[in-house]
Formats: sequence, structure tokens, C-alpha cells
Amino acid sequence: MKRNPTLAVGGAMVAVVVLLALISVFWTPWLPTQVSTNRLAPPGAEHLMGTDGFGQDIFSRILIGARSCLLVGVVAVGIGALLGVPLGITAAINRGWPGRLIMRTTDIVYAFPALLLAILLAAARGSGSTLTAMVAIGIASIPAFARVARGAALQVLSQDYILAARGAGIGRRGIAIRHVLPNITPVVLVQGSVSFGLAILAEASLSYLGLGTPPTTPTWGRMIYEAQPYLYSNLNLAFWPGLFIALAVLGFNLLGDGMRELLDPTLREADK
Amino acid sequence: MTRLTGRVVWFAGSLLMASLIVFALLNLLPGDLAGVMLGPNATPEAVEALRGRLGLDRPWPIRYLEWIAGLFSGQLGASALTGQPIAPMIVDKFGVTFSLVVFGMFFAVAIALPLGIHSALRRHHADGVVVAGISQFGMALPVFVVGIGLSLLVGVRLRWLPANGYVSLGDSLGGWASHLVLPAFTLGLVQGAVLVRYVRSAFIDVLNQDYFRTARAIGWRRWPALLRHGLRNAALQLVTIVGLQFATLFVGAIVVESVFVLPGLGSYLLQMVANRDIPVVQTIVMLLVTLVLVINLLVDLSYAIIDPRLRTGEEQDES
Repeated sequence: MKRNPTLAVGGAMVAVVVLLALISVFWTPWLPTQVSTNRLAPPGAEHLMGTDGFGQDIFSRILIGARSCLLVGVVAVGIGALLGVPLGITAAINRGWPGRLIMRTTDIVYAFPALLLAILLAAARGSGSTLTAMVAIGIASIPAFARVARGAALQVLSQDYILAARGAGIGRRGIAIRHVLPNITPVVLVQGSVSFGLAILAEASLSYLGLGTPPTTPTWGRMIYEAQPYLYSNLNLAFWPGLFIALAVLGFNLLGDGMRELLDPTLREADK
Repeated sequence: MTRLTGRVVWFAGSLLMASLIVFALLNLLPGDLAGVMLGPNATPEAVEALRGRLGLDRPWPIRYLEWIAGLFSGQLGASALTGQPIAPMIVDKFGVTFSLVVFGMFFAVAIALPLGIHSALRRHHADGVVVAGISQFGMALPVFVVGIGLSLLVGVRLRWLPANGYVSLGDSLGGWASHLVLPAFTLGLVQGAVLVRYVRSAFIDVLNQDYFRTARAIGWRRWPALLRHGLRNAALQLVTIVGLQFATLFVGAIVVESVFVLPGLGSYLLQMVANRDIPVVQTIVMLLVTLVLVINLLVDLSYAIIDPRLRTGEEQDES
């Protein structure tokens, strides 16, 4: 850990977010949706981070928000990896026109950024929801996973032991599952961490635009949106969710960078 | 097939596929389009009337072809709810978004190029590492948080620039420019933070090259050597990323327009989503996707101009 501070710092930040989410499952100081007359209270003993315009406890909402943030990241990255990685490996193994077709098709998905897809899904459904946001962000991250998986798989496939495996009569599917997949997992994990950060950012933007999670569930992006009428008088409302969004995204980005350094020690030499 | 024609044919194919995706998502998902547009409280008669007016009873391939034919002939159609033609609206709003994106890109490059080169040259020193750290932090901030922060600080507290709103170019040049500075700077700051990393790593690549060492060895000073030999080589990597960023800027503009209350294409799109005016949403999203694909095509074609090695016309195997 001492030799890889990026990984340690990133890991610690992510751990904080995970911890908040875990705590929220068992305990929040107040009910996150409990409205009270104690509106816009400053941070204090009763309300650790103060209260918002409805008198709701900000700290409790931050705790619940950590859960939404991780949920969106896990589902979106799950969709991106589960669809993108097999596509990338298939493209690497079938290098002729099938491989090229797969990669070209994922290129088209590249033209649909998460925000546009989410807008399309929200329009088709009449309004946005956590589900449309997660699906949109997940689909938009498929091309990145496919590209990374294909690149790494091509490298694995050029190794001698693949030749040996082929000689031993193992088919394409066997090679893909037994040899390629385990060897590209670290690279996919790096992409997963980076995509996780992007997913949190995208979800925050969608919540802010009112295209994500509905008002009943607190999310960090939504909290900033709801803080807007009070910005001129009370920055406290927007400060906390903004801080935790930055913490979570920075954590996942650093974690990804740290893992990349761990995989490729030459990167540290060349890059620092 | 030469690289150029292959690329253009593929572009046309991508457009076709993308239009099918947009159309399918809005028209073929389970659920009644007219019902969605009128909301849960609509009477069955009203829904039926809207279905008839929009021609939703007809088979979807015909509706799709009509839509595409309309796009090609510049007949973008009319709002399903008000009946007004949308083409003039879109042209008007696109102008706002386009100026926002161009200024945003200008700020992004103006921020990222010097900072990235500096942190590449000083990568073993504290200040170079600090720049890399600031870029990391900038990447972690959502664009609307940056926008709100700048609007509050520069617009409300310091009163140097308008905090939000828009004045058209025809009304006042100064007013137009001053209302665009903060939104464009917001967009540029966030994209610039991402771009710094790429500039830095592109220039670190150059610094490690033999030709750069040779140039230094025969007496070129660092900056002249970098500008004479490094810039073009680094540009090769950077053109791709700047091009792709142009595309993300158009999407980021949707959020920034919302923060600064700019009457651009993004605000219009969100308004139409809220109004559930699906035909308008369909057309605007298609225009934005087309824009992204056109930018990608231009990036690809620009390689040939920057890298003479690619001018031979052979298709390169990317693997």
C-alpha cells in the first residue's frame, strides 16, 4: 500500500461511501423523509449536517443517498461489463468480419451518450426513474468494456500457451472461458472502477435534471436540485451532497488508476 | 475500397442504424405512445383522437420512412401538442448551443494544453504532480455543481458577469458574449480537467521518444524542440480525444443550459420531454446523434491530414 498511494487513497474513499451505505441499512439518525418545522437548521448536535428546506435531516439523506449511488453504479457497471466483455472477447477470437462487425456496432452505441439514452427512455416511459437511468448508463458503457476486453484478449491470444491449448484440441469457447477471461479480468476491473465513477456522475446529472430517481428517494444529485431555491441564502444544503459526489467519483477514479499502476509497474516509471 | 470511401459508407450505415434505434426506443417499446403523451388522466377518446392525428394506427415501417424522408427534406415536422413547425425553433436554439460548445471547447483547450504540457515536463516535481491532482479533482465534480458554484461566486457574489439568462446576438454583442462566458467556462473547465490527463500523457510519450532526445542532444532547447517535433506527434493522439470531447460537450451543454437558463437545444429538449411531445424529442435526439457521428467521421478523416503516413489510401488493420 505504501508503494501505491493512489490505490490506498482511492480505496479508502470508496470504503467511506460503502460504509455510509451499510450504516444506512441499519440506522439513520432521523427518518430521511421526515418533514419538520426545524427548516434550514445549521449543522449542530441535533442535526449533524443541518436540515433542508422541508426540515429533513441532511445527514440521514446523505446516508440513504450513498445507497442509491452504489446501487446505480453496480447495476450500470454490471450491464456494461456483462454485455461488453463477452462482445469484446468474441470480437478478438473471431478477427475477421464478425469481429469487425461487433466492434463497429458498439461504435454506434458510442454515439448515444448516457444522458441522451436516459432522455429517450424517460420520454418513452413518460417520466424518468432509477431503472431508466441505470439501464441508460449501463448501455452507454458497453462500448468501453467491449474495447478494453478486445484489446486485452488480443494480447492474451497471441501467447504461446493459447497455441498449445489449441493444439490440445480445446475449442474457441473453452479458450475464451478458461484462458482469456481469467487473464483479462484485472483490466476489466480497472475499466469497471472508472465506469463506476462515470456512472455516479451521470446519475447525479440525471437526478439534477429530474430524469432519474423520483423525489421520494433521496439521491445526492436530487438533493442539489432541491437545494437550488436556497442557494443564495444557505449553501449548506448543496455543499454536503456535492462533497460526497466528488468523494465517491474521485475514490473510484483513483482506485482505477491505482489498480492500473499495480498491473503495469512500468506505468509508474513512465508516468510520474 | 479506400479508407475514405469505406469510412463514408460506414458513416451512412451508422446513421441508418442510429435512426432505427431512436425510432424503436420511442415507438416500439411496449406501451401506447399517445397514452404516454397525454398522461394517466386522459380520456380514451382523447387518446384515440391523438393516435389518429399522429397516424399511430399505421404500420411502423411506413411511419419510420416518413420520418426519415422528412428529415432529409428539412421538413422536421410539427409539435404534436401545439401543431407549430419545429424547424425554425431548432435552428434558433441550435445557434445558442453551438456557440456555447465552441466557446466551451476553446476554454477546455486553453486550460488543458499549457497545464498538460507543464505537468508532463515537470512530472518529477511537486508542481507537476499538483496539476495532475487538481485535474483528478476537477474530473470528479459534476458539471452542474461547477456551474452553480461559478454562477454564485462570479455572478452573484462578485457581480462580474451575469449569473444566468441570455441575450441574443442581434440585440447586443456585449450582452450576448457576457451571458455566454460563465456557461462556456463551466463546460470548458470540466472538459479541460479530463483533457489535461490526455495532453500530459501524450507529451510524456513524446518526451520519451528517441527523436526528441536527439533534438535535445544536437542543441535544441526544450520548448522549441517540443513545439517543432513534439506538437504534431502529440496532436495525433489529441485530435481523437478533442473530437470525441466535442461530442460530449454537446451533451454536457444540456446540463449547463439548464443551470444557466440558456434557451438552447438542450433546454428545449428537456422541455419537450416534460411536455411529452415525443415527435419533437425523437427529431432533436436524432439531430444530436447525427452531430456526434459527423464529428467522429471528421476526426477519422483528419488523421490523414495530420499523419502523412495514412495518406496512402490503404485500410489499416487496427489490431
